[in-house]
Amino acid sequence: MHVVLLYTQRSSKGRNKKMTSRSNRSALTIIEAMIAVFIFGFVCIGATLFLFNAVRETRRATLHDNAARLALLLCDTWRALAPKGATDPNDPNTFNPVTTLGSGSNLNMSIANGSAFTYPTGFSTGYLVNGGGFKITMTTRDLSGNKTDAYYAQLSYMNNPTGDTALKLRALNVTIRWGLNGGDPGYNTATNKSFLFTTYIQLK
Amino acid sequence: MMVAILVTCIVILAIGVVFVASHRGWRRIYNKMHSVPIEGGYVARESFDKIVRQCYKKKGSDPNYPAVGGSGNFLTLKVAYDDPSDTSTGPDRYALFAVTGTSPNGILQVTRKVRNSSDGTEGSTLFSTNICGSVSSCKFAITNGKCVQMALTLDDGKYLNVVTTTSCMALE
Repeated sequence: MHVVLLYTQRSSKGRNKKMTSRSNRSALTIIEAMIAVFIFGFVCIGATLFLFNAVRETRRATLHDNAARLALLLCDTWRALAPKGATDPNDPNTFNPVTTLGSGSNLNMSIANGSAFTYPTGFSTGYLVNGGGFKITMTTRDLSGNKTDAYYAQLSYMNNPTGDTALKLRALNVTIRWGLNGGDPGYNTATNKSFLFTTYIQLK
Repeated sequence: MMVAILVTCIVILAIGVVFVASHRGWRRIYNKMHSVPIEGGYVARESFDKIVRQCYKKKGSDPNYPAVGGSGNFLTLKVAYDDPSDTSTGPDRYALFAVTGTSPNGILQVTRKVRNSSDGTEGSTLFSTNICGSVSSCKFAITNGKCVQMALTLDDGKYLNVVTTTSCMALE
């Protein structure tokens, strides 16, 4: 109140001074708000990136987990079909996941073109059904809706992996590939991830 | 002053939007890990692995086990296993995996029974345990009498989880 009275008793020169003072205060408020917007922009971008990456990595981790479990499923099942009783070292049996494990609405196994698949050096697919290539589709759902993801499995084997024929060992390998962000990107794309699982059996 | 108020309002609205998005993102991540189908899947997987790995099969004994029964979406699995707390050798317990209720609200249960060692017949029921709910499909398969697979589908309407697992029993 005292300030207002003081300003009203001033000359025109004083009024100019008063307006300059008010203008400075207003300009300062806008600058503060703009700085706040600027800082908040950074916070928003950071928070958005954090959330985006967190959700994406959660999905990627789920895909990786599913792939690992499928590889273990195929590997253990294959191992059970080829116990010590397997006498022919050239025949790693006729394991076919399509007929052995069946198919369903949410988990479906089918034959894939094995000729384009890759497997570890020294391993072979010669005696395997369909060249050891299989496609597995899995349908899951979260808050964003249904998702169908494809996993490509390649089976391969190697007799006497240690080089010691007396051991009569056979290595069974399952290589499974899937799209980094899910879906069905096809087998040979740069965004595919892979998981390799190997187990051993002893022949008679 | 009006400009400052406008800018401030925009900032406040933006803060609100970010808070809502944060909450939704957090809830989505949390539910992805802790919803009933996801947690149920982990429990079912571990329970199945633990019990089947306790099983062992002697050559020529118990040709009927493990056994898959039932039909449709809900199959059953019966295995004979050795109770580790019991001093006797050989399988002395049965475990029956079965789903009660109807799809998609089935409950996966495991029922444990005594196995009479002399003739392999079923004895009294020891206890039943509910493993998980929201089961819409449960299928088992046996490979070569030694390795058991489970494909379990859990669906609570919002989340659908497919659990695949396998476990091989010890052999003698």
